Amino acid sequence: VSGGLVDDEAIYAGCVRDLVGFATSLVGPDDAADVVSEAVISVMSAAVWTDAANKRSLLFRSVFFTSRTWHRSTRRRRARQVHAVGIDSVELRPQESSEVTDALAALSDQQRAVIFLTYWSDLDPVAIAEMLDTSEGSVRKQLARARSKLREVLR
Amino acid sequence: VNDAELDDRIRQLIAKVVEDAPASPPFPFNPSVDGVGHGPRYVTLPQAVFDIDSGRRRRWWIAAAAAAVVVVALAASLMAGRSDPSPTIDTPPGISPALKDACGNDLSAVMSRVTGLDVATGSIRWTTLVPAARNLVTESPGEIRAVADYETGNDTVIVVASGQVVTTAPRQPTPQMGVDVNSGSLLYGDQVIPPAVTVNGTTIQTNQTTGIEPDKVIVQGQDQAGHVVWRTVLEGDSARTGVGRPVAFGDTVVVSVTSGIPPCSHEIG
Repeated sequence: VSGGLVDDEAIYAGCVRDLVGFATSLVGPDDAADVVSEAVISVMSAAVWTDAANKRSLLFRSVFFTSRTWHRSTRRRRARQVHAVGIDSVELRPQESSEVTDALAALSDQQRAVIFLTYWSDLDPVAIAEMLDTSEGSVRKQLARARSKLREVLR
Repeated sequence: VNDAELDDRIRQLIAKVVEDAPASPPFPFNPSVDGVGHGPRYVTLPQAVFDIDSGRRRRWWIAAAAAAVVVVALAASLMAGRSDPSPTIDTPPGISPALKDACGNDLSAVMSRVTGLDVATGSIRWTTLVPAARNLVTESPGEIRAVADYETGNDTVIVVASGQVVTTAPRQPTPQMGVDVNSGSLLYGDQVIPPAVTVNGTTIQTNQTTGIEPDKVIVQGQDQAGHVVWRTVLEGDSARTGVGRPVAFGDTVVVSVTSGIPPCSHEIG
């Protein structure tokens, strides 16, 4: 058990910066570290982790799915807050507007992931499709749509 | 913007995202701890272990295996005369079965799960389910206080060593229970219970990931350098889940997780 954890820690140390960057592109800087921690705990506790051939890929995949859960949970939590105490009592941090946030806001979760993995990790659509558990065609379609949206935003 | 320019702009955009990324969180497991029953993989009961490929069947199997390990460990501990049972919680006098908050919600059915964890490893030593009105764990010098009776305002004292519960003087005004929507911490009256305690150099914190799963509570121990030495996941039973301050008693830290708290507009401030 101990040796396995040491190996896992080495894998984690080798890619944690990229994982945090990936999570930042998906949920923003405020929650990225929490999403990464949650994703790592979940995937390393899963049976699939032990025999996985590409554990780095599995970590990215877990961050992606955890971020989607985070989005759903955030929406539910905000709805509960409004229901419980009224909107005036809920203190929300104002979101700074910038070219970066505006550009990312224009993209869906999957498009953000595809853009990050294409332009930062230099992965091809086949590798991205395997990582995100989708088809190569879907990745190519999402990449084209994301580029089209960013062309408008970054103009 | 032509394609080449667009590619450059997107690379700059992603580089800025990475530049703005927060510091890397520490590795969430403790490699120095050996054996079943230690470390976050084995102590998170009832942890939500999800298996991406195997789904529910695997989750059920892991939960059952973890439960079996806990039962065997507890039986072995009892046989060896080294038991660390959960405290017995008696019903304090004067508590009405019909408890209501300021909004008229019935609180008598609200329950809290109180869990005792090993300060050094985070492993679960015992867990018990008690009525929430008797389970707002706070701290006072020399003892562990738990509780508030909504109607009488009585505090109740849990003395873990002898496993007894006694009542103390009434508190006025009658406190209300709620969940701080920003931190997820339990509210005692209008006071947020601080989410950390330090024992033998280990700082135990609760509720580090409220932004991800509101019904999940993470308890973690950090050494003096701020490194996470263990992490244990506790689950609430509903979306409206709050966690009390971790309270130390010897080398056991007690965490109270309360679920199903009904919404009440008076609960905050």
